[in-house]
Amino acid sequence: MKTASVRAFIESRRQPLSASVETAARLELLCQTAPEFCVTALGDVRTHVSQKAHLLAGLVRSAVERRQIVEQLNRLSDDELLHVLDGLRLRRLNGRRVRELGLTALAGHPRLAELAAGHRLRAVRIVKHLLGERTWSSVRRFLAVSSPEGDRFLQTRLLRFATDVDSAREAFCFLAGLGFAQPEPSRSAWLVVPWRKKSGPEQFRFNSLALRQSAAARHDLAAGRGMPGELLTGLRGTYHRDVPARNVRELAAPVTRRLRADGPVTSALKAALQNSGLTSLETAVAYGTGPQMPVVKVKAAVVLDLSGSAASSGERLYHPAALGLALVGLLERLVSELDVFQTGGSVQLNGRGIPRPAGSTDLATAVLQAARTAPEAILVVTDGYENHRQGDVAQVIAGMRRLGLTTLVEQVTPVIAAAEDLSRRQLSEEVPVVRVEHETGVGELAARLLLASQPEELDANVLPAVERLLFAA
Amino acid sequence: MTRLKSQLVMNDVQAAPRQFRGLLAGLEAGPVVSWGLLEAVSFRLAAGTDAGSRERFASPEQHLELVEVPTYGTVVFRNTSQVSPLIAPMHVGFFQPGAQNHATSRALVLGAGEALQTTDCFCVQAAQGGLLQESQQRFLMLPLGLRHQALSRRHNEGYSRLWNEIDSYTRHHGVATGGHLERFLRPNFGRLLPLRHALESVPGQIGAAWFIAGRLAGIEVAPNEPYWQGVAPVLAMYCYGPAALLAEQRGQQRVSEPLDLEDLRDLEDLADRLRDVRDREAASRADIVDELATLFFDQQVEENRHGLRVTTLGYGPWSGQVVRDNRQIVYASVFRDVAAESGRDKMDVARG
Repeated sequence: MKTASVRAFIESRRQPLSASVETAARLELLCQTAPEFCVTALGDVRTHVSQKAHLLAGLVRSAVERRQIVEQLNRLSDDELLHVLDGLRLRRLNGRRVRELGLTALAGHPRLAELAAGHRLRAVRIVKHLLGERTWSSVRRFLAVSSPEGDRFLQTRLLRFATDVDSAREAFCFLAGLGFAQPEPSRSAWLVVPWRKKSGPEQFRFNSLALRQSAAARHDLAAGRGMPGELLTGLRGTYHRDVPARNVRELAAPVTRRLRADGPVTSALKAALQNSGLTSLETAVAYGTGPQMPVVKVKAAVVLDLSGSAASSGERLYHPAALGLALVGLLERLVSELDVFQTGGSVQLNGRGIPRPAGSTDLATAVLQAARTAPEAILVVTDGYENHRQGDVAQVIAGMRRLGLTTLVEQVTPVIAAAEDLSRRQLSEEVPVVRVEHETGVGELAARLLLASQPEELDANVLPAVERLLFAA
Repeated sequence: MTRLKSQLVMNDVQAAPRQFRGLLAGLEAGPVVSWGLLEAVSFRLAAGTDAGSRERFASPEQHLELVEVPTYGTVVFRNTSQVSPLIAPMHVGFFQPGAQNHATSRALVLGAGEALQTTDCFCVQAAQGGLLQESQQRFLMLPLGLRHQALSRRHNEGYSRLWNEIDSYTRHHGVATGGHLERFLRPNFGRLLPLRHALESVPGQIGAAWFIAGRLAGIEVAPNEPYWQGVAPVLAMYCYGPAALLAEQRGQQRVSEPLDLEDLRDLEDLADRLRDVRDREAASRADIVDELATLFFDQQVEENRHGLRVTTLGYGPWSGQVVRDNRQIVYASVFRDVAAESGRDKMDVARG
């Protein structure tokens, strides 16, 4: 297996699949050469959902156990799970393994009722694809009218994949459109069968609260109070066109913005920078409660930018400095040999006191000093405001390349949101930018350093360590 | 676990920092910082120079309070420090409740605890506007393109007398017209904010010379370091930053000598070349600053308050004010509108 393909995966995993034409081929190759790694990537929060869908499509062709894949799929949010499973339909993948894998993930999902109640149409599309149109039609019929033959059929084709058969049956009834009145089709049917009766909604009483509420909201939108606005908007469009849109806003559950939370080390450092509480970086790192990660045997250098701009302002106040310090402190535990080259800062990072952001940003001199120690990789932890002759880092790296030094140089930029625009803050086109929002990103940094020390052909024993560093958080 | 090995990378210190003369006597050049087309040569007290009375001045960031705007064009300021005098920087503006978006036309001297009413301020908001809460600064500064006109209209009354200039200024930047400065600032805020972070002050800094696309646009001197720390981000964002954006829009390029990478021997050689090119560039900037500082400016004494003399300077395109404490200049702001000049240069070239 090529070291470069794992590196490329790490570089591009946050981007949508469509961002690069090479990504799809790279993921397929990864699924063939490192299926276990790909299974873990399936449950990774940082990997883009469209890439996960492609990974799943690759994994159904691999020999990885179904249980392992489903375990990772269960870690995904409802929305992500449906997106990933829908990828099988969009790629027109079918066959026994696809069916069994998809149905195990869906029918055996611990939140199947909520998933069905909130995303009925998407779920139906997936189930219909997994079972096939005709089987789904039979399933609907047997769910509507109970019979021994029908129950056997349901058990064989569908319910055997469920962990809780009764709940799953109820959820599939909901997906089959039983228990509530279906909307009238916009066009009249070309063939009318007069003796065919529609099943009455009164035949079903859902035990699941989510299904009951979702069914009730189809009858009366007000019954859906507290449901997600997206779902209510959909129901209004189908069942209650005469209800004003403002009612949906009143009824919908308030959207809770996901608050970002700093890690314990970053929080301690931010507090220290504001109130001068901590005595040293080591004291702050002791607050760390992250998972155990393997130590990486590599000689690495970190250029740490603690210039005045690392103080930042507003909601970012002290974020670049605190997260940068936290990453260096945590990285020191994971890397066998780490030299830190500090530029800016009120004092030297030497175990006594926490340096406060101060001074200008002379990154080029620091990169040169780091290069003199002949490390295998240099990480430049900076907010990207290189102001001591902007562009000098790029020229210094160009000079290093001319001298035949191929040392990996990467820019690590602490950000508060992944969407932060860093286009004007990239030190050089030669230097990839690694955005880090949280101190748990230290695992990825260590993985990058580990890969930097590897030859072109990756040692098979190294991959599990990379996997743990990348996905443990 | 390893033991963290760290070393502090020191900025290359010039063996003999350039000491300035004339207007900047007693100051020396420090590191040059730049971002985009905006560049700042830092000033600090020259080695062996006595700070004298500089330390006694209060910082406007902490002690300049806008008390009220009794009528349009009239603003009451207060120095909240009970022990230190305060120099309100030229063309300082306020976008905050109760202020009706006004800016001053000149430097003001306030004694300790003094409330001062000034009647020659400008209203910079022809219509209702919002607040720039994101800026998180207590005040702003008139953009460079408006400062010359603002200074020339000091001691006159009439709150709307800068509206026409603001109107043509916003027109130049391609945003909505009208005598309403906020209409320019709001859409450009995202591009101006990085300047505040990028142009960092260095320890001991009390002033800077600002260059836009390699042309000297102004020099600013503060009495002491805390004063400068409060004023520098405001100058970068609101005063010189907009001129740098305009230069960028006009396709001007950064003037910087590239690092010569031909026939490199080793990393030491690369480090030496980096140091040399930086020294040369810093020296050339310092030469330009020194030339300006030694000009024979026309000087007009404006007022003497609390033992401080405010003087207005002029020389060709340059104008500004200085505040002297006895013979020592404790505050200076001298500038020219480089954007307008580069426009004139282009017209001259076109005429042949």
